[in-house]
Amino acid sequence: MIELCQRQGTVEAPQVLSSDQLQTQVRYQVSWS
Amino acid sequence: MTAGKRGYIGASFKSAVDFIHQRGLAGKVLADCSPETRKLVEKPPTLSWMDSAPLDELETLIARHSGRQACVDLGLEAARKLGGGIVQPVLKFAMSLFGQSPASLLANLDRFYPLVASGLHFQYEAATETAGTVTMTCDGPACLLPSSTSPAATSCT
Repeated sequence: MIELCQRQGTVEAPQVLSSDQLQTQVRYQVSWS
Repeated sequence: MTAGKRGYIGASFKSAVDFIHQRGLAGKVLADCSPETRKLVEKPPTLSWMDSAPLDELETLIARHSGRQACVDLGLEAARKLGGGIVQPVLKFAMSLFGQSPASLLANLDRFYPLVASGLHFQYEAATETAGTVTMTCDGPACLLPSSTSPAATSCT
């Protein structure tokens, strides 16, 4: 847990793949060091 | 709460209520929100489940009065509170099983989120050992999502 908390992470702005009244799909690019 | 729709545990809504007080937004938000949501803001639930509509309304008003970044800040604060509280034992257990890496958590988001939210589904695809893509599918229409990718990024530790 401590090791994990020490990592630096980045989440790119989300990209909406599709969206309608029933469902929305969003993609996030993530990375860490 | 209707089956198949997004919903949240009351503690998620309470995080948003705490946030508008901390940021000095309570007056503006309460002036603009519906009577139903105002009642919940004045007496927020903690452990009961609720439909997503009140939280969606609060986030919309936070974005209107303080900008989209305020909603990003709220998301981080709520994640830290819930991840350090209700969800923490499950996070610890998952890391003991699958390894102490962000990839272990990202690949198991579908196990953690049902503790605090419903109607959200996740899939993780690793690109390298330290990067990948999370695809989230949520029930219902988009709320406060951008129409396309922008170069902005959020850093967190």
